[in-house]
Amino acid sequence: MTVDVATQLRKGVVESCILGLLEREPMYGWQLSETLVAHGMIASIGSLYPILARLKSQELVTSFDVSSAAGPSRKYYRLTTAGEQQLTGFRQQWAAFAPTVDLLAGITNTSKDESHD
Amino acid sequence: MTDSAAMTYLLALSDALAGESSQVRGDIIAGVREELEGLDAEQTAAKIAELGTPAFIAASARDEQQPLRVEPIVEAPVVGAPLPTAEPRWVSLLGAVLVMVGGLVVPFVGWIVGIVIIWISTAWTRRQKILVTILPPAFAVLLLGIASFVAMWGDGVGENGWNTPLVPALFDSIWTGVFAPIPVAFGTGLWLLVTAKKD
Repeated sequence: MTVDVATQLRKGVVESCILGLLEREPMYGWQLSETLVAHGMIASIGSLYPILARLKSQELVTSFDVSSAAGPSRKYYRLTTAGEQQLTGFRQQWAAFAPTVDLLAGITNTSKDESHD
Repeated sequence: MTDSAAMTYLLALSDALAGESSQVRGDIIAGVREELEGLDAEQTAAKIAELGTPAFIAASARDEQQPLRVEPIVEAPVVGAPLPTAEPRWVSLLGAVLVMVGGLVVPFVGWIVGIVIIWISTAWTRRQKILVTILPPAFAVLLLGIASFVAMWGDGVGENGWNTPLVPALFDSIWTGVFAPIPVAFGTGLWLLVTAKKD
């Protein structure tokens, strides 16, 4: 069995993307799912909850319920301190990793190229 | 209050997620229920269309939990496990035995077959194979050379006209050249048998 490159890349970074979204604000499941699906990071809401379960078991995120008189009661997710540290570590690694991959894989920065024209 | 279409959808989703862990199953159903609660029939239908079929959601959940695995080009051997054998053990055994006694069973041809098997086999080094192939014929050629030299030197008849036993007749020397390689082949075959790689 071979796994396509997009799947490998997505699975490698989707957890960090969720941490990044939750750093901005606590979000509920559907809210997260919509954003991630729109960006092609997950297939459906079914993909999201196993990831959230992993992040919770690693104590990187935690959940809390919010009741609303206007709508349904929702479970929100937010970052823990460990999650913030994890995200900071990922950002540092990614900052060095991404340009290296660009360089080695021969990926040109089209926006820079275009700006010179 | 949850719409009946929503209830039907949630039940189908619960069935589709039957193989998942109770936590994942519960989280997904709870998350979807949140989205369907309080919607009217039209809104429910629109949301269900947006969510996808229960089978699709279940497949997504299963896929997400699959470990990322890329098929290696060559399977790495398990640490501690024996290395995969390149050939059955009997191949090297047959080759060594034929080199030892194949020439006796079917003169010359039996030994040749043994040598071919030895060269095909991976149980020995190239150097070993060359040595085993060359040694018996080289020994035969050496003895035949000696026999030819003796034949040119004299006919084995002494000054007094008697045959001297110290000088072999040409006929005897040729036969020595033919048969002497047999113990050499036996010895080299035995050596192959002992030194064959076991795995």
